Amino acid sequence: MLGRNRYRTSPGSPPDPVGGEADHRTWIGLACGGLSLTTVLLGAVIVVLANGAAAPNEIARGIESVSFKIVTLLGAALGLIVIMLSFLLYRGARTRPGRSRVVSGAAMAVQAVLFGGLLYWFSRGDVKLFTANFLDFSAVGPYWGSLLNGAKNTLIMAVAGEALGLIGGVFVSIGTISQNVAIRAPIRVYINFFRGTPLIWQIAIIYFGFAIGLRLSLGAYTAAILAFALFTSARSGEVLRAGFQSVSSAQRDAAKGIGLTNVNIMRYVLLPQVIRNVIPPLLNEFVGLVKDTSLVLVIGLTASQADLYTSGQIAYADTFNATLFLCVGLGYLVVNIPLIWLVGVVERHLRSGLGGVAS
Amino acid sequence: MTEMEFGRKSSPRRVPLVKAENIIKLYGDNIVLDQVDLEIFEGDVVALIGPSGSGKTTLLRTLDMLEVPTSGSVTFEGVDITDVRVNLSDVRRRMGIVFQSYNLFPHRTAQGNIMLALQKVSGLSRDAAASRALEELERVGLREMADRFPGQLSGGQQQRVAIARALALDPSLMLFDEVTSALDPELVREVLETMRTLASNGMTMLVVTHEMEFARTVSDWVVFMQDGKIVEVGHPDQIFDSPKTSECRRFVTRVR
Repeated sequence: MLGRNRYRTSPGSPPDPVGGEADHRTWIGLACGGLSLTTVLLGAVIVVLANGAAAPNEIARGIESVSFKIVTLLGAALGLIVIMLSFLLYRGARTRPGRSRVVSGAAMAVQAVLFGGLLYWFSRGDVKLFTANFLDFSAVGPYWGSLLNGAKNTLIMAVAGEALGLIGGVFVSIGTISQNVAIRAPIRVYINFFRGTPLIWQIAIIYFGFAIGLRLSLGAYTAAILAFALFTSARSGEVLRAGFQSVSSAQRDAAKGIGLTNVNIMRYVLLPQVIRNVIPPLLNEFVGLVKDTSLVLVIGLTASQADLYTSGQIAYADTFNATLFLCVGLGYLVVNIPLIWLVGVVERHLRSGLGGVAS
Repeated sequence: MTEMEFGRKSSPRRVPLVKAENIIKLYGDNIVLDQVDLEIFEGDVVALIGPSGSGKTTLLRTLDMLEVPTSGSVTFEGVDITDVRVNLSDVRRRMGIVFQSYNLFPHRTAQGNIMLALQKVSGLSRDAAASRALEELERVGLREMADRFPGQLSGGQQQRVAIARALALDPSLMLFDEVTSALDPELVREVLETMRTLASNGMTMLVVTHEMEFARTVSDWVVFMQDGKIVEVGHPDQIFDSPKTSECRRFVTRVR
């Protein structure tokens, strides 16, 4: 028989592209998938909270309890069933939204299996030792101030390094797009050197090398910022070069055509477009630099000069409690997550067009 | 090619506004322009036609020194502008150039595009430049689009803004480089209309074009190029109705 069923590919009912009737059964997949994931995550949290989650041994008691094991295994098992069920539901779905509901349910079921299994495995490990070492927030209290100071130093180093590096990067990028090989070649060497060696090595070489080779005692803090600035000059120089090359030569022609001088072409035609194009990649560079400040560890800053990571390290050496380290990681996230979010916002704004730069 | 009587329509003693002499342009081993001579006299509208790859655009860009000729000279208003000591921005403010792909500055509004040259090249104040820019937009019939960004304008509107931008500095010569080639057919007319008005107001123009009807009705002279050489020069009627060379005849019959 020809007609509607001619292109049917699966033995179930043919997908109805218009979606005339509601695809009731697909909701079951979505609901059960959601239920499995909720059971694992919410169940685990409730069990832990019910055992009183203030002190490390209380948290351990909750995780080691039978109800924790039941909840995680149950959620994982439910997830497995949903995954299998989803294959049937997917074939039977009549509409595209229905199919995508089944996929969502299956995706949550997969997560339920993964997290449920992992938490169950964890509950059978040495939970008491773990919570005492990683989740003892009372150990953080006395070091709160020094961690904050570390965060402050990290930001100062990152911002100073980035600011100096951007200024350097402008010159580096202009050098790389120069027609003149006597200008371009040394800049290339500079860029490749700083991109080709590890930053941790650069910091050490600049700190110790300047002190010995040039008899210039920079101080660890200054040396670190100098290293970040030189490193960032090379990296942001490359970003800016790509930005310049993304503005078409036709823009340059048009600017020349109306009689603008080279300086004015740069200032009023090229730079405004370049800056818009390079803001997202430069913000990404900055996120990287915030993390990379932890590499100053190699040159031994004093406690008051220490960055966030080193502050955590110093505190750990005092207490042998890794909860401090956990907090250090959170500290980096507190700074970087908003920046990462900002990159997304700026990118969307630029793509949405108004005042944005066409290629 | 030297016995060009082309351009002497009123007085035989006139000095050409722009004169290209013996222009050779090489890209590597490729000869793009092969000993080209061209003179354009004040008030003349010259159409430059020929098959693609014949060097029309390169010749036009050479007159504005956007392409530097390998050898030969370009004299504009009595000055040899191929001399390295010549300040090209001073030369270019006297010429307007309009491109195939409009090349408006995407980060500036229609008005802002026109104001840039007025402020930075003519040295007008912000307010003076703003009102002057509005007048220029008025001339191309786009005053109400002043605050739009190029991305918000149609191709034809963008190209008219580009023409207004080039006209804002009161150039003595306008160069048009296939300005309608990138446009949708229904937008071509509005741009050609603008150029027609300009021509009838006495502007000196060099127009690289594939619009044969436009070349025929608007231009005073038609220059036919092929393989980097100027093959034939003449009045539009002569070029289109009784071309002397076989190359030109072949081209004219093909595009008709």
